[in-house]
Amino acid sequence: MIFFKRLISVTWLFIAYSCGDPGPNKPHLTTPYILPIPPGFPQPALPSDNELTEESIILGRLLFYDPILSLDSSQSCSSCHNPSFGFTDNGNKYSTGVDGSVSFRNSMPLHDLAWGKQFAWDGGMPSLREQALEPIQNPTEMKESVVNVVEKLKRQPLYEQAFNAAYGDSEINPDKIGLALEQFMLIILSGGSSKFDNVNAGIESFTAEEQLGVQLFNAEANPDGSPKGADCFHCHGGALFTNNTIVNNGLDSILTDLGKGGITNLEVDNGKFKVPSLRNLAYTPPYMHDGRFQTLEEVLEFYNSNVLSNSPNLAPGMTGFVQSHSSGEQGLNLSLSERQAIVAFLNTLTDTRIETDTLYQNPFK
Amino acid sequence: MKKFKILFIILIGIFTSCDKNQGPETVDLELQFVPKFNNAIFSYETDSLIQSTTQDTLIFTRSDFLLSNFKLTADDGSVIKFENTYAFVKGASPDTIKLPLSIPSGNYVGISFDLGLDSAANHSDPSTWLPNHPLNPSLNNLHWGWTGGYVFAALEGYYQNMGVKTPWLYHIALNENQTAVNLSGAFDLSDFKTLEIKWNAEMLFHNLFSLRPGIDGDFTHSTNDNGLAKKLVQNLSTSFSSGSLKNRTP
Ligand code: HEC
Ligand code: HEC
Repeated sequence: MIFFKRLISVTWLFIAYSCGDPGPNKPHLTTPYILPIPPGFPQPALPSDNELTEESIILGRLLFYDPILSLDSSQSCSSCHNPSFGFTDNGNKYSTGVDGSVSFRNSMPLHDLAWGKQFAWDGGMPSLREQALEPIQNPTEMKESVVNVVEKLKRQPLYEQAFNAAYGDSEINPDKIGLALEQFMLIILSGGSSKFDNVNAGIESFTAEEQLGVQLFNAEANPDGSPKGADCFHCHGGALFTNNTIVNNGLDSILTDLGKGGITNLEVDNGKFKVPSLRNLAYTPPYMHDGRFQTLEEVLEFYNSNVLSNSPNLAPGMTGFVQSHSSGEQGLNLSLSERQAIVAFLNTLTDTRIETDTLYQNPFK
Repeated sequence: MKKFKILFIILIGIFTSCDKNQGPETVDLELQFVPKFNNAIFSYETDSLIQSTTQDTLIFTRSDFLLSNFKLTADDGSVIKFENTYAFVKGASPDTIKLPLSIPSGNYVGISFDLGLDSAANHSDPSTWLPNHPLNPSLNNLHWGWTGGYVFAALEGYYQNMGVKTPWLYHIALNENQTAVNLSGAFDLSDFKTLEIKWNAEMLFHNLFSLRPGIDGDFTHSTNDNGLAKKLVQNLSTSFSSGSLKNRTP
C-alpha cells in the first residue's frame, strides 16, 4: 500500500514535471553599455533594436579585426580601417582588395557614426548593419560570401562563446554579424579630449593663430570685407563638424563619379557626396572621396579659390565660395596666413583617443 | 401621481443629458504644414517654378523652420499659450505638430506662432535636447555654432541666372530676426482636428519686398548683407496662411 502510494506520488511528480512549463531558459544576462557622449555633442538617436551591450561590442570588435571575414583570410575590416590612421586605410588614396583589385574611392574614417544618418561617400547605405555586410561580399574588397563566413565562424569555439555571450545562444547568422559590427562601430568616438574640446572645457587655450582659424571657420564668406569668412560651418558646423548631409562642394565640373546620383539615378543628385566629419583629419589624409588632396593646405586652397561654380548641383551652401570679389576673381579671398590659421584650427580637432582607447584596438594583438 | 410625473421628468432629464453627444471638453490640435508655390504642391530639388511677379525661375531644395511660442485666440478674446512647444518643420517632408490636449473645446479666431526662438531657447545648450526633440541639432541640422544659436529658417535652392543653374541660400538667424506669424480665421475646435497651414513659398521672393537673387543677393547668413535678411523676414512673416480644418480621430 505504501509502495502504491509512493508510486502514485512519484508518477504524479513525473506527470507534473513533464506536463508543466519546461521552466524558463537560463536567463541571458548582458551588460548594458552607456555611450560616453562627449561634452557638447547632441544626443544621438541610437538604433532602438540594437541596444548597446558590452558583450555585443566585444563580439563586434572580434569580427572587425578578424581576417576570417575575407575570402582567403588575408584581410579584415581593419586592413582598410586602421585605428592608427583614424580608422582609414594607412594613408592610401585607394584601397586594395583581397584579389588585388583597387577601389575607386578613398576609405572613410569610422568615428562618431552614432550620429550618422546614411553611410558611404554616396550615402547609399541606410544603416551601419547593412554597410557592415557590404565589404565582406564586395568582389573588390573581401570577396567572400556571408554564408561562408557563417560556416567558418561556426568552426571557431571563440565565436561560439562570443555569440553566446552576446545573444544567449550560439547560433550564428548574417543578421547577428551585422548587428555586432554595428555596435562596435557605434561606440567609436572622436571628441572630448582633443585640444578643441579642452579649450571648450576651459583647460587649454588656443594660440592666436588657432583663434583666428576658429573665427574664420565660423564666419560667412565676406571676400571684400573685413573680417573675412571661410564659411565652413554651413556643412561642417557644430560639435560633430558635419551636418551629415549629402551635397556637392564643387570639386569637379565634369563628373567621373556621380556620387549620390549613381545610387538614385537622378540627375539632381549627381556630384553629391557625404559631408565628412573634420575631426581627426591629422590622422586621415588624403582627403575627399577620391583622396585627391594630400594636405589640408591643398584643401584650403581649393575652398579659397577653386570651387567650380559650374559643378552640377553645386550645394547652395557653396554660394559664398563662388562670389566674385574686387580683384575680379571668384572665391573667399583669404590670404595665405588666414588659410594657415584655419589649418591650425583644424589640427586642434585631433583626438589621440582613437589610437589609445583600448576598447577600440585589435583584440588579437 | 404628481410625484410620478416629477420622477418621469427627472428621468427624461437624466437620459437626455446622457444621450446628448457633448464632445470632448478639451481637445488637442494637429498642425499640418504644406509648402505651396502659387497655390500648388511642388517637389523639392526637381520642380522649376516661375515667380509670377519677378519672373525668376526657382528651385527649392530646402525650407526648414524652427517655430515656437504657439498661441490660440478664442472668440471671447482669451489667449491660450503653449509654453515650451517647439516645432521643427522640414519643408521637403514635414511632420505634423501637435498642440497638446489642453485646449478648451470652442470657437477660435486666431492662431499665431513665432518664426524662430526666444533668446533663452536660442542659446540653450544644444547637447541637452533628447534625440527626437525639435531643438536637437542632429535632428534639425539648424544649429549654427557655439555662439550664434540656431538658424530659424534655412531656405536654399537654385535660380536661373543668365541660363545657368545658380544656387541661392538664405539663412535667417539671430534673436533680432525672431518674428511673429499671425493667422486669423474661424476655427471651430469643438473636436479633435487637423489644421492645414500653408507656406506660400513664392512670397519669399515677392511680398512686402520684391527680391531677385541675381540682383538683391543670392546669399545671406543674416549678417553683412545690406539688410537682405531683414527683408526676407518681413516677406516670411506674412507668407503663411491657414487652410482646411478637418476632423481627426484622436
Ligand atoms: C578593401 C578595403 C576595405 C575593407 C576591407 C573594408 N572597407 Fe569599409 N570602406 C572602404 C571604402 C573604400 C569605403 C568608402 C566606400 C564608398 O564610399 O563607396 C568604406 C566605407 C565604410 C563605411 C562608411 C563610413 C561612413 O562614414 O559612411 C563603413 C561603416 C565601413 N566602411 C565599415 C567597414 C566594415 C565593418 C568592414 C569589415 C566588414 C569594412 N568596412 C571593410 C574600404 C574598406
Ligand atoms: C556646402 C557644404 C560644405 C561647405 C560649406 C564646406 N564643405 Fe568641406 N566638404 C563638403 C563635402 C560634401 C565634402 C566631401 C566632398 C567629396 O569628397 O566629394 C567635404 C570635404 C572636406 C574635407 C575632406 C575631409 C576628408 O575626410 O576627406 C575637408 C578637410 C573639408 N571639407 C574642409 C572644409 C573647410 C575648411 C571648409 C571651409 C573653408 C569647408 N570644408 C566647407 C561640404 C562642405
